[in-house]
Amino acid sequence: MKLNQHYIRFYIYVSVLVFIISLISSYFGFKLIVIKNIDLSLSEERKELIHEFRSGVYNQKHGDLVDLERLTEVPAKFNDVYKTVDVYDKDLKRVVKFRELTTCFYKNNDVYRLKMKFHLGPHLNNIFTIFPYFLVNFIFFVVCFYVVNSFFLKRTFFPFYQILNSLKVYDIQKGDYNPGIKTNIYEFNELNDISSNLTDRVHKDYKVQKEFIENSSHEFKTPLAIINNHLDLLIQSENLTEDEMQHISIIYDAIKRLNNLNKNLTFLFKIENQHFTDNHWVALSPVLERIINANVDLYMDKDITLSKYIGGEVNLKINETLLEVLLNNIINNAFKYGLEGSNISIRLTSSSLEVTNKGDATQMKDINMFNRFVTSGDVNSTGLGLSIVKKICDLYKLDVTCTVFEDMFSVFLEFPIEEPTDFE
Amino acid sequence: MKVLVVEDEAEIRRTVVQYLSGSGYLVESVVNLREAEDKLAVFEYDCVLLDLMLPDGSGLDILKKIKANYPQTGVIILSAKDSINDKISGLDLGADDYLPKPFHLEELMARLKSIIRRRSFAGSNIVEFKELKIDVEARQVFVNNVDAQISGKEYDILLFFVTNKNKVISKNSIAEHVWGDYTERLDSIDFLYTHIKNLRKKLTAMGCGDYIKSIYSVGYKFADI
Repeated sequence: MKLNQHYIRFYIYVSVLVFIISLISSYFGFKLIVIKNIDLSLSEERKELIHEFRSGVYNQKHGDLVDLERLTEVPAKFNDVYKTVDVYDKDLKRVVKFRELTTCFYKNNDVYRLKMKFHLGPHLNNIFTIFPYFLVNFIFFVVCFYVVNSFFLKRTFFPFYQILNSLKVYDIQKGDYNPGIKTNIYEFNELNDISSNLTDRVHKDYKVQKEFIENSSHEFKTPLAIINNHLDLLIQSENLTEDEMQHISIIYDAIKRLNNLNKNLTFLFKIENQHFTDNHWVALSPVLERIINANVDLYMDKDITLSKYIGGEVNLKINETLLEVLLNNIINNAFKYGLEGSNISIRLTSSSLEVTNKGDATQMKDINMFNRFVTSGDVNSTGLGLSIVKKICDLYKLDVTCTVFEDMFSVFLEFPIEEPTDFE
Repeated sequence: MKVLVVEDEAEIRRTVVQYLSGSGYLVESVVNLREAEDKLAVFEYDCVLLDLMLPDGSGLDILKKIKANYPQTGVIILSAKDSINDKISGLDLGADDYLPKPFHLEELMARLKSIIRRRSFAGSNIVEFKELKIDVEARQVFVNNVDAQISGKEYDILLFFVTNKNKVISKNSIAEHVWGDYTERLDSIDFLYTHIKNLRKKLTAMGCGDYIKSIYSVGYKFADI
């Protein structure tokens, strides 16, 4: 939720709550005033009636509303009692609210009780007639307050959005954080300073890490190159026996593995640290065809048959090197672990790529295939192939799954539905 | 043919010098930029093999000078630095080739010969070995002047053999030369055997001598005897 949405929502909730509370409290307030007034006039009227009665000019004109009664016993209490009572009205056929005053007085040693009623209904209804005005006033107030507040909010939070945008477009390789804010609000200045320090440090760390990766990879390669070159010279020797040559051959292979391991680890680090940033729109099928052809060539003696279906054109905005590595790791795995004389199926549609091969069921496990150094028990594998696949897919938000069904292993790659707007 | 090796790592320098000298090149070597500049000022070289990370600076600096002052000299960058940027800037500055470490000496030889062929004059597109004739420009192989119809990977293998004639070539270096990065993930390079068998069959069928010899499990040798 956006900041101003959040603010509006909160503001509306609070306003409505305040409105309801003030409505209720003012209703009771008004009611209290109305009843006070009625009680006052009842009290005035009582004096008049008692006076009339004592002077003998009292008549019955007051009807139902006044009830005068002579008491045989003197009541314990003589004071006035005001209360609200419900009376059933036969004409209206409903209960009507009345205010009733009960009082006692003497006339010539006789005790009388006087009950006077006053119809509350019309007076209470009067309260409701003022509520529309009340409502209009309230809405006017809420709107004014909202306009002023949102203007204030926008102005106040402008530096915050500047910082936010600057961070959004921040490029770790360039270290270009500079929102250029001018504000005298302490918190925003502090946020800006902290962001600036953090981005600075991230940029420096990135550079150090990049150098470290390049250097360590370099430090590995130099001794590998020395071993390799010496072997190249050693095999020129005329007096080597077959046995010695076998040893050399094994050393060659081990060096190759070491070199691949170094390359792949560096590669993983580089993907993780976003060294591959130049993305272009690349058509997938030509790259796929090239990789399939190369692998067919390399595994010529495995007698693998290929069912290839290319039924759609896929364009991805991706780094071309990464695309090649991604596809090659998937296709090469199929050829590498595909059984001799078996079939590999490669299906490319406009939304997905599926590569299925028949493998050794005892060596296949579908869980954690994407983790580093998880191998199918094959000594020559570095165990990084599929984890590189996963890393590249994560980077480009491609969905990749691998499934094992009996002795069939398949990798399923889903492409996002996004069409290129421009070709570079 | 004169070659200058600029490399601070003694063992790499030594092996490169030994391999190239063994193939009839006149090879000199230096360990830093200053010595390289001194040599270049006095002698003329057909090709410079240049390491990028040198004790007194980057090889890219001297690359600019070589290209400005000795345009006829070819340059191959030998680098252990794993950076695409270095490769791009090296080639942009005029390097003829970029060979990442670790490399095979046979591969270095192939790259070197290719540059020297490209840089020298008329007739240099033809590589000859006895009755074999390879037209590098047209990618054609002739046996006794008859087109042997050798193409694709077999052509690449044959040219690599002839380039490194009389040397034992490891299977790994052939595979890497011809299939490049695709061989990285291979468990075995036995597939090479099939390709070489086919190549041999085609050549001998045309009446060419069988010059490809298998050297136990390690590799092959292309030689007269």
